[in-house]
Amino acid sequence: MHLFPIDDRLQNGDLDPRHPGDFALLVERHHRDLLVYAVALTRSDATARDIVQESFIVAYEKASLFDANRDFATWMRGIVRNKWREWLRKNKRYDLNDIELARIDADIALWQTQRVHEDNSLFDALERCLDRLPRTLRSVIDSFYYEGRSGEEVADVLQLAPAAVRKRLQRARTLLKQCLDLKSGQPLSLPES
Amino acid sequence: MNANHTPDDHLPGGERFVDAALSEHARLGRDGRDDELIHRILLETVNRRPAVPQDIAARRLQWRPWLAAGSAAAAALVALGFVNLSTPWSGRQTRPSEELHFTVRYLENSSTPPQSVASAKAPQLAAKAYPEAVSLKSPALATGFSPALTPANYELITTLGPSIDSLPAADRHENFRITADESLTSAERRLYSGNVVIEHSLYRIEASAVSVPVAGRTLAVDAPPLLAGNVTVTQESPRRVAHAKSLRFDPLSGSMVLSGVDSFETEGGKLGRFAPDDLLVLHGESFSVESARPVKYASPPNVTR
Repeated sequence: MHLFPIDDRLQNGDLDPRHPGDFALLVERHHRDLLVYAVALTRSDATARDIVQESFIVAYEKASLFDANRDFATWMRGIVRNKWREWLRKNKRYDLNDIELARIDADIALWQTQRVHEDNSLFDALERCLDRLPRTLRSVIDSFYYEGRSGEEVADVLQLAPAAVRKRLQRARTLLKQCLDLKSGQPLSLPES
Repeated sequence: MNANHTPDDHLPGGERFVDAALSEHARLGRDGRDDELIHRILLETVNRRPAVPQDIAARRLQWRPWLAAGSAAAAALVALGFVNLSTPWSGRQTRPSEELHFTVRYLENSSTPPQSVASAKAPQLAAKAYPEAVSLKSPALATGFSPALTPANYELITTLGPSIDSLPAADRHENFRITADESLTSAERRLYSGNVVIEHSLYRIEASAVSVPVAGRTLAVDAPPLLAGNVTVTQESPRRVAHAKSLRFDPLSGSMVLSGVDSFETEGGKLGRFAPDDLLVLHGESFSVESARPVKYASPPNVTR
């Protein structure tokens, strides 16, 4: 598994979650990445928001246990992961295998570290990568994600076969992932699942 | 995320990350700030602390932008006017109080050629001082407890873009009075907490906390002008009572948008089975429940087991 160097002082920015004011800033700073992480785990917006909210509440209540020398983002991902596992148990949902979970965790960790060092947010990089997508793939992404159409509706609008839409979505996501990995400067090299 | 997926869709780990990033980017935009989620988290954490004297808290929180709307936004769909900012009160009978006067002013923008919604320019916002005190028309407001008000009125004018040219041309006014045990002020938002009561001509709202912009601030497009948590909304005529985790006032439509609804009692009966994503929209004598988008299947899941 790929390990990422974490600069704790930079990552936490000298903010201490035990201090309420600092905690509020940490919520603002980390909620987006944790939302992406939770959505990747649950594939449900509403569930992801609930999990992130509950995780921050747990973090606040357990802040006295937090080691200030540790990385807050890593600590929070651990809490989100535990909340997600609770949700899986309650809802009997499909589970990710360990490799897939490690991959998602690594992707988020990479961007959290990257943002701290270069002030380069995931969404900024995503927009740049979207601009580099071939037009045929970009139109499918726009229609599916940004205009909220179903795969079949996208197929109708773009006059494609549904299978072609699925293939283009898959290819676009793969290219975006490669682009994001390059943007972050650290291509991942995880074992294939 | 795009509701065209189901939670059981199986995507490889790398694709799931990109899928989630795309979904949240589409939902939140480039800034990626989920104000409502932040508000809910803070309500359950730092804002549950014991009361802090207002002036001390205000000094401590001046530099903290945790409730701030995006300050650089040059666009807002609403025009706001604020009446009276309270001074620190002491004693049991005098609680921090603020009256808000929302003015939605529609101005023709005839010089702008028709264009698509996607390419429409953001509305422009201008502000000017408004010298006269705004009268509160609601009887409920007029008879309520009112510490001496300091007139401090502002009128903000919005030029609407072509994407919403179809809205009525008449101005509309919404008055609120907020009272609470304490209030905290950050650079751009004011937070009231502790037995918060919001009085409006149609609604009485009890909440654990409410957040409003500080007068004179420009609002970001997505910044909620009034956001309350753990609310009980009571409407007298027709008689309705709603309990919800969060309430957002939409000045453009004059609607109260409730999320995380626990129950909704009407004269016709009680509704109690709301999905987490459902929104209850109260609009005058009418209401609607906006359900989460129906789950559609973009691609059949790969069966791997």
